[in-house]
Amino acid sequence: MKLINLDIATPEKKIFSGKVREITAPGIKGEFGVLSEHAPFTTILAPGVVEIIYEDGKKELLAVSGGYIEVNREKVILLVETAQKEEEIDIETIKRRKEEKEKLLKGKDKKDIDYDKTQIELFKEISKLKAYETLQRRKKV
Amino acid sequence: MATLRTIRKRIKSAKNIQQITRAMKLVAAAKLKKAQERILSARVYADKIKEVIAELISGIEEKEYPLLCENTEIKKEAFILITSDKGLCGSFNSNLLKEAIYKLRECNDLNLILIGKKGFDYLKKFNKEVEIFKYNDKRIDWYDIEEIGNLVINNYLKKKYKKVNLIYSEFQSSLQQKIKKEVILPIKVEELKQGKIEKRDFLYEPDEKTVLNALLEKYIKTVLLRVILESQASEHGVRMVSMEMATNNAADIIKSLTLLANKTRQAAITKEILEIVGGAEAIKG
Repeated sequence: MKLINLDIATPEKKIFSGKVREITAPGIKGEFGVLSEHAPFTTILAPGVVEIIYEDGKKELLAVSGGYIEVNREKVILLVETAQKEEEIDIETIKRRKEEKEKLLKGKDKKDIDYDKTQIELFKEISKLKAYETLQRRKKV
Repeated sequence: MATLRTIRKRIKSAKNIQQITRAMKLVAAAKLKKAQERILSARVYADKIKEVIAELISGIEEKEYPLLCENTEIKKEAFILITSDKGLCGSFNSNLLKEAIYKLRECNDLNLILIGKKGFDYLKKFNKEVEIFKYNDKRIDWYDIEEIGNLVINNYLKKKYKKVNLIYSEFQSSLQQKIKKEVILPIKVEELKQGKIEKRDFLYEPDEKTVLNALLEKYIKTVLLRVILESQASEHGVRMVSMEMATNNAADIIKSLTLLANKTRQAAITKEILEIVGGAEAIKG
């Protein structure tokens, strides 16, 4: 089976570069799969799950929060804002942190700068939680 | 004249200061390296987006893209200032703030977006509308950028701002700091057109306009991320240099104080010998 070169980059760093067998990504107009020799094409990605099947048939799910994909003759370039791998998500810690932040927020004054900071941190935890939930849902299907 | 004891005390405190500044210099050097790595690793994404935009942007009607044209009928401007959180980095912040004050005088109707505590603390007293404030530390990440970016873009699209200005410190080398003033919105098409413009035979889904619009938004955010990372690198670079200078100054002070201490010690000994000799003469006589 022919393989495709895949590059995944987030604004902060390159997270993957190598050969894969298949990619499934949530396009803005619906999910699509890419195999080798796909016609050149680009689209905007919606938030969702990217599925990668590696050379050895191993499957990996990535929760992404939107991005851009380009499929050209040589390779596939996937630019995503954030990408969470399943094994990187420690659900218990996230839940605990989320609760801590929520508790902190209740005790704070809204005008406080720390309030804003805590709220953003809470938002981060929530978005990680969402990523995890999407992954779980996807797994069941 | 200072006594030997006070001089020795001063030497000791100068040595302590030297130790601290030397440690700070080393820390800044390590942080600078990390910040540079962050800039490099962020480049992959930004370059790709720029490339695709360059490809799509040729031959479009600029008026159709609100992010590309200035809202001429509005007076209010937004102003993003990126400073550092901490001091002890020479004139890093004061240079930036000087530019900021200049801008404040020039334009009355401003909305401030402040990244970095120093700028916030300083500009507080001007009673301007602060739209958003963020700490500029190493924890700043894509979520923060997204928040700032979305706010700026949405306000711009709602025609709240005429344009969005940006003042930051560009990273060149650790020896110099270059203050940069840029207009990030509207996006200057000419800048993006550079490089190869040949259009590839591609399918754009849903269509080129949607893709380009989404990419332009992403582009703004990557610019924001880049300038924040650059200003951090620049901050560490400047701090490294100024701590180096402080260490050298401390060495100079220690040197001259040691000289003074030795002289005082010698003077005291000479005085004592003279006294003894004088005493002995008196007994003899």
